[in-house]
Amino acid sequence: MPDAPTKWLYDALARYERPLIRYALTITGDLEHARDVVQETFVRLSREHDVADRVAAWLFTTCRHYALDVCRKNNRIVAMQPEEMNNHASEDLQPSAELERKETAARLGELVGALPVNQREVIRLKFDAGLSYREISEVTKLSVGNVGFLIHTAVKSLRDSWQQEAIL
Amino acid sequence: MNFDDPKLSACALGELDPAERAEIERELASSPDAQRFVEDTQQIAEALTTELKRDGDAMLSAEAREKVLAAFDANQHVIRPALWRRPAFLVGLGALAACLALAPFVPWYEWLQHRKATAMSAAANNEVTVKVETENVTAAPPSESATITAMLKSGTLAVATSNTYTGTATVNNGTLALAAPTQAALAPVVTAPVASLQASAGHYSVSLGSSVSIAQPALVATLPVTMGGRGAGRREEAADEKTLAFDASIAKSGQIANKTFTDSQRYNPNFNTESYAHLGENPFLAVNENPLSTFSIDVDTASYANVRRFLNQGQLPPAGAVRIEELVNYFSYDYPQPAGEDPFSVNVEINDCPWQPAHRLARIGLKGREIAPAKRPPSNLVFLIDVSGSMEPENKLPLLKASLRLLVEKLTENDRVSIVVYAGNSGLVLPPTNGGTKEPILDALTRLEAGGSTNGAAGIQLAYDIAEKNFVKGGVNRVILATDGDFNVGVTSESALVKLIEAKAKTGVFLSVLGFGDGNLQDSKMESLADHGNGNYAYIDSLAEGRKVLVEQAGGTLVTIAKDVKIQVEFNPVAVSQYRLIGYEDRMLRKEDFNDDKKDAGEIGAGHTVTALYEIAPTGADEKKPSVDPLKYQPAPTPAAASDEMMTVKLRYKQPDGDTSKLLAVSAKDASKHLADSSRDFRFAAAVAGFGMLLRESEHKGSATWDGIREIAVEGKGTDTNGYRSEFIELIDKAKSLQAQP
Repeated sequence: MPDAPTKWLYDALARYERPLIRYALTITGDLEHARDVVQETFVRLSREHDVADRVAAWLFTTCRHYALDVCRKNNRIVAMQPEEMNNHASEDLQPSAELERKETAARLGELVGALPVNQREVIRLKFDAGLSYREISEVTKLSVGNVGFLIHTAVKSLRDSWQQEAIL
Repeated sequence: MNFDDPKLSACALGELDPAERAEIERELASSPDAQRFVEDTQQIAEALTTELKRDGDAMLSAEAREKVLAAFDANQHVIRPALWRRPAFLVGLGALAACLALAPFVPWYEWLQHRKATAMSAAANNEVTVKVETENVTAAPPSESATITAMLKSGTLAVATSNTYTGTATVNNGTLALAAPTQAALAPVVTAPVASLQASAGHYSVSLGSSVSIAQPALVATLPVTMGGRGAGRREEAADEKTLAFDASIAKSGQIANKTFTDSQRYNPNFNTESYAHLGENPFLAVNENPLSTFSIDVDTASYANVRRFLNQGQLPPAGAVRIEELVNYFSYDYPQPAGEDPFSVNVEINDCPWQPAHRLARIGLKGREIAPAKRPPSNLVFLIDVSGSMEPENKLPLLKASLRLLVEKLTENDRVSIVVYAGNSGLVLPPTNGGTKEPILDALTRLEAGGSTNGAAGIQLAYDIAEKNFVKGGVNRVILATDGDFNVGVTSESALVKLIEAKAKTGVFLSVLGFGDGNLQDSKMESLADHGNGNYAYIDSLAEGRKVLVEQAGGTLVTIAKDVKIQVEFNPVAVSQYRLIGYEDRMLRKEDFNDDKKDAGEIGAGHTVTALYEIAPTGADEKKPSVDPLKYQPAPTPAAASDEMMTVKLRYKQPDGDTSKLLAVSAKDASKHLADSSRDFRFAAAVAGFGMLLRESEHKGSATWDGIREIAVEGKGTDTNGYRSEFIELIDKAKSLQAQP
């Protein structure tokens, strides 16, 4: 339905449903809560009439707001403990190429998990959700420069770790 | 080169503007290390993009998705940029444009796909037909088809029993029978400008505006329709926009037959997700065929407060929101206290029917025994409070907190209070606390804040668990759910929730529901929850209402003195030819249910009054043709029938903790009294019923007028210490002026 007034909403849902849930999950630490938050976010979106050209930033801003709300309600510390992240033990001493690739990726996940919370958040918004620095700035209320700095720092430390482990 | 410059990664990620980019690239050219950094960054970015997605591929649940899609459609149909940007069209339409809900241009099949799941509740409704005013039919040429916006005079909608729409929509002789997929809403507005509508394939739509609604009036139904018959529309005015042209032609020919109800006054569904179950009206029944009338009592009052809110906001309420028995029962009547050991008294009064001179009006009034506050049994109250984001407005959580504070002030050390909140998840914010120690309770109330989404089911479970754990034998054990009713997350199904509540009611934990707020009120759902939980449902729209429900009527709201109270009236065929129960449409029972103790019915609280009205056509009053010929082989009237009794009112009730019912019977004669001889309360109750009938545009309203019922209400007002009756009289004036508006 190309001309339907709801098209932009459907597009937004298709594009951002999964990244939003993953993002909300990093804040709430509970998948059901994350889903609730994202549902609420899209229901809210349906009442917005002038955000079609900045949907991504709006969605993640609202999602973040709701997710933090849920955490506050539950007296939770913002979740995403490192140990919750992928934590495959490297049992296989002679990894096949496939395993190696998987392990590399898993190791990257671990490294991300070890980053400070604020870096993890911008990393997720940048690389999972695909937001621009400017959009991330809107979502996190950090300045664009600050966002750039956090991403740069995160990338640099990931690179350093990888280099040390000779993955790169 | 310094790797600490964030511009390096920004460059790698394409975040630099051209000038910055050129500058960095110049630097990169001279630094292989920096180049490598940028390349590594791009590789990391790629790996991260893949890796971060591995943290989960979770999507919304099917049910959640359904709700989101429903919200999309419901909330975005109101945007009509394509139409509103046409000034010529607007000028041509004038005021009419504002009151017609223009058809959304969503193909119907897509609409259907998204609606299948939500169609279930609507599908439960039986088939009904819609009356359309046909006096000014404008029909299209047979070959023409057009999108029309049909809004119907006194609309009810035939809902297909299957969730899938396959059927036809036809308008014939002023009756529209729609097999609609779902909770389409019909407006009681305007004439359908066609003699005949027939469904055909997809690209035409009828937008059914508002008000008489099935489950979810926010949705605008889109049905495929082709018009048949002869045309008189002025299509040439906007040949490219048949919809608009057609609407314009209606406007110009001035054929809105009843301008009383325009869309803008009567509750615009597009901005709203309130839902109201469709309610038909009880018809007149012939005594020869239906000598028994059986129903469950109902002490709910929510409909009145809700109707008041609509009127105070300058809107006429949708007919589905007007439950006449709840309007009548909103008021206390001065019936005598029970004298014997039964928990309530039964009082019958029969007088002229104010809106139908040939008819009689019989009032059955029950009065539950008052219990002095000091003698109130110990209580175990669990407040289950919705703190989801939607509760934030001033008239929701803040009002709820203020209202509950009033109740807390009245509690004593005999009471135990717990507070459970629910939003994205549920939690106990106040463990069972002695009602004599106010401070922790008030503190817990003060700390409540709104935010997050709603998981009603989990909260209800937790609340019941706590109520059961702290069960007070012989006392009041009650969960008090306070919400705007938007259980939008996590409930697997409404019926599962109802089952849970029913099961808990059997254990002795009853449920009261307090409804708050507007714009999102799930009226029928909350009423149904309370009914299944042996409880009551009140709608609180102001602190005064909170005081009425939670303080003045605390006894009734909290202390149940009899449960499963059923009424069965047997009419004497010698005296009565036809009768009609006013209201209680969703409380009707089968005649066999009366003696069936397994059949659940309504509860009556301490001091509650319950009033039911029957409009009665005495024998000889309607000299028109009888519906059936007299029966030849039936036994002759019994001596009792030959007596001058008009009816016998039988009641069954159980003690709150009992399983077997007790029968009460009261016979009543018609002493041929006139309205002038009637009690004040009788007149006032009659006025309230008349008010409801006028609001519902009832076909039985007879000669009722706003002025007429106002007069009776004023006569019946009495001392009115609380001012509720005066307020009602003001509402009559508001409703009158709203209906009078063009």
